[in-house]
Amino acid sequence: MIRYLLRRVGISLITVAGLALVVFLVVRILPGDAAAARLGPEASPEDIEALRAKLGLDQPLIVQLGDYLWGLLHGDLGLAVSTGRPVADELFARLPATIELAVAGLLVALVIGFPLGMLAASRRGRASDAIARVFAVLGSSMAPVWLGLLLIFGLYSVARIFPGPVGRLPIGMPPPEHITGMYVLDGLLTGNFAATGEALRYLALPALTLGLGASAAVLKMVRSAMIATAESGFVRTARAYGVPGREILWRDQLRNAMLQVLTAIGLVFGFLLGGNVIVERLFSWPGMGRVAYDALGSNDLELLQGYALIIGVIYIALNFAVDLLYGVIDPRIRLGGRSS
Amino acid sequence: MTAPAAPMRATATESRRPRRRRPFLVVGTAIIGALVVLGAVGPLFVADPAALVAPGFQPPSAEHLFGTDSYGRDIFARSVHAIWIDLALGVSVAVLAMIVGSAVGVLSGYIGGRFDDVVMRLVDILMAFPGFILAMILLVSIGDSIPNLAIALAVAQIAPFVRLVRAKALSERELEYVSAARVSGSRWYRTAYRHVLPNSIRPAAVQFTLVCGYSILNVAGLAYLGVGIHPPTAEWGVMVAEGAANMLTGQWWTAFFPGLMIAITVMALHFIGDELAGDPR
Repeated sequence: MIRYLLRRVGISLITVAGLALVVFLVVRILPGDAAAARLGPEASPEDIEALRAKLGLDQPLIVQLGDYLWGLLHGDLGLAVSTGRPVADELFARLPATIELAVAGLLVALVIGFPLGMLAASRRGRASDAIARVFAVLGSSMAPVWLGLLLIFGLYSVARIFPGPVGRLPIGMPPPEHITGMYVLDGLLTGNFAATGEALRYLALPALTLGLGASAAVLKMVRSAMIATAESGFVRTARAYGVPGREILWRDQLRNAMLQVLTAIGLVFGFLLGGNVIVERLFSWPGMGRVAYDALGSNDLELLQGYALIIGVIYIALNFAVDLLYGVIDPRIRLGGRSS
Repeated sequence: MTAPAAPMRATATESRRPRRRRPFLVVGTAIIGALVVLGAVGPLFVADPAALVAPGFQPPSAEHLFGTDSYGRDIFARSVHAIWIDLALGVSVAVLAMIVGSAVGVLSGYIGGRFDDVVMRLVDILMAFPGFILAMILLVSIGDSIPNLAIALAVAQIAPFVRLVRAKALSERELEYVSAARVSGSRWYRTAYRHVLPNSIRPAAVQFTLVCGYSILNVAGLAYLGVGIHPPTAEWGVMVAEGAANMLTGQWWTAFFPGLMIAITVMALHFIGDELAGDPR
């Protein structure tokens, strides 16, 4: 187990280092002068030179890289040019809003995708399987903006069930006392149930938008993992012994399919964390994706670079957590089976 | 020429299997076929995409099937003009990603060893980003233009091609025809590209159709964020972005129909890809 753990930690650290390098290179080496891009077409050469000096862009690349990596080790992601505040502050202040939305989206995706995937696998080839597959394809074929717009139109404009896309709480309502920064949770922790209720109502549509799209991926993964186990030897043996089909499904197949399902959940969660720039803009959700959108508008490469790095690190950390859970679920992995 | 005989036979056997009925494949191909035809001849029959043909915000009617947008442009005409732009972007992104990804993947699998280790680490790093974010960052760094949009989206989709082709090449290189090619004096790169690659490319074909679809979705997403394709170009994603604000004020058709075109197209591509992949087992 220790060796497995160390190996995983090592691989994750290498990937993080590579990630930092790639993000750095993408922003610095690619054609296009960062300073010129930031100042726009009307900037005078002197202004551009001055900004280059201020950003350290006139230094040799290797010096820049050293500064950048040294800063990273101290949690310094540089200054956001558009706001003048440290990139790390800008982004981490918004992290709770993004996590709240991603977790809610993941719950929606699991609640919809998991049972449908099980159903489709257990009735493979029949009508309900075909319907579930069409649903999965539909879910992954809609542009997230469009799906969000449809939900806003149907459930807000027409039916008035959920509030409009104006952020996390009704305009003018003070947020609950800051503990985690996630309003639903903070409301519960401080006994401010009104805030929790409103936060949930405002969370519903963006979470549905993210979750419906992701549920398709969950459905597909659950279905194919369950089908793969259905064809394995242990299921055939259990069947031959006369174990009831339902019991095989829930006890043997599900447990063995959990590995793939877990991978799917890790991927989907990462996708929800990172792929929410669009949904956060659409619903005026003040998360990290919203910061990235603003950075895009103001050509703030430092901020975008920080955003990419944080998303990448979260993604790698998730994969690491999933790898560890593999070991918990499947003893064969932690007890020295070769892992590629 | 040392034509690999064994795998040729294998393909022949495959095609002799009794054919399953594949309704999804038929539907998907029919939709894409219809779109290609509509995209080719449609523009001759509908209005110019920039023409102001009617007052703004006309709801769908017999005259304006999809209604008109805020300026009074015909949304059906614009959607038809957009077909080829979107399909061409989707296909070119997939072609770019597949060429680079397969070329790297086959080498990685065939050569193996250190080289393979390095390539796989790089792939891990590329995959540490959600594709959409990677494309967004790349596009901003290399400059916002349509060719760069295709490049950025393609780079974001290379990694899965590398993985798929590499995995197949790893098992292919153990087969007899590879030793036969080697023994008959074929150089290593020739063996890799002429013999191993054609036999390792099939999983990439499935990915190809999926990437076409993702790219159309990503183009739309980027357009909504204000990068990639810009107004007034008649492109589905741009049209959805332009119509987004009208959804709240009741003119739902401005964003609905272009978004529907995206959904239908991507759905058809998924149908084809899923069927080509076969039922998972």
